[in-house]
Amino acid sequence: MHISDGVLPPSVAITSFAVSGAILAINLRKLKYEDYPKVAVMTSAFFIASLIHVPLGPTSVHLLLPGLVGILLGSTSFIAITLGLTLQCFLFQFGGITALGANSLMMGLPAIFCGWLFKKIKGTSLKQNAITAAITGAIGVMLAVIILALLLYLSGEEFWGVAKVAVIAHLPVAFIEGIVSGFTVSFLYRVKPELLFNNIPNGPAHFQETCTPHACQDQKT
Amino acid sequence: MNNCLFNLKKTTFLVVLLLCMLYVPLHFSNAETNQNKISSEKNACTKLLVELKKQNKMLSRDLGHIKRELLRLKYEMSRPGLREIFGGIGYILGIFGVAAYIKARQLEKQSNQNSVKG
Repeated sequence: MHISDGVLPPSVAITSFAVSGAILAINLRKLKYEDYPKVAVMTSAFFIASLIHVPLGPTSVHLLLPGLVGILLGSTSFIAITLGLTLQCFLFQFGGITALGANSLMMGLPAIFCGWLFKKIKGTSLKQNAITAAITGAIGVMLAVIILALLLYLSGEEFWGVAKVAVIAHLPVAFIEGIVSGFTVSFLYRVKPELLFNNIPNGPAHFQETCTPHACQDQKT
Repeated sequence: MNNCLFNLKKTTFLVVLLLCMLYVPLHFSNAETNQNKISSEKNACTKLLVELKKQNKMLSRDLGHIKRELLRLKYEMSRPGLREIFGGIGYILGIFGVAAYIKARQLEKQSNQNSVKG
């Protein structure tokens, strides 16, 4: 799922570098001081996820996690994904250096979209959250595949042929990703719901009971 | 005199005959030993050949082992190891740590200015 050196023509590579640089700059300005640790942890998770290989028939697939990163970080997930991909590129030789911009677009845009989608359709109950997260995780992978096909189309391949092959190859990845995202979010909902709900008053019911804004302020002071 | 000559002839004849008779078995026994020698050499050669073949087989098997081991090592080397993984996590935490430090200093400066103004 990483584009290698020499696959994309220079024009596409440079354009994708420019676009991803612009998105990165916008998100860096938006990044709040309180979110630094969260972004760091999710960057580490994204960085490591590609090493977890799930055996599947004769081959094995690895997690991509754009959906989960997007769910937890929202639009700032682009920073996490760009940094994670850069380190993967230098340390693991996954993907080429010239294709770094394209790779971060391919993973970052689905992550931003997933964050937005999760915010829109997540409910307040555990079940709703888990199911939404599972669907969002799967959509994240599929979107990444479609962007991959689009990038290859821009570099002269036939769109439908590439898209069909890539989508079929990544269906199991999307399925596994959905399960992983669903379970992760359901765990976080029970253990640390403030990761999912940035402002506590709109958070889950049981969290409001135990920690009303007033009580939380008392605890803080 | 005649008798003596005859005797001499007889003895030479006898000696020659004896020599001939001696020669034949000697000759044959020589041939036999030659043959024996050749066959024993042949035997030794075949034994050596068998031994060499055996050793060759063993060596090629060992070489195959080593080649497989090398391929495995190459594959392991190409895969990211623990060092890369922890190095990467360290990079990420370090980068965010430095960013947080810089941001914290900015915030502190701002709050100091505010307090001075206040």
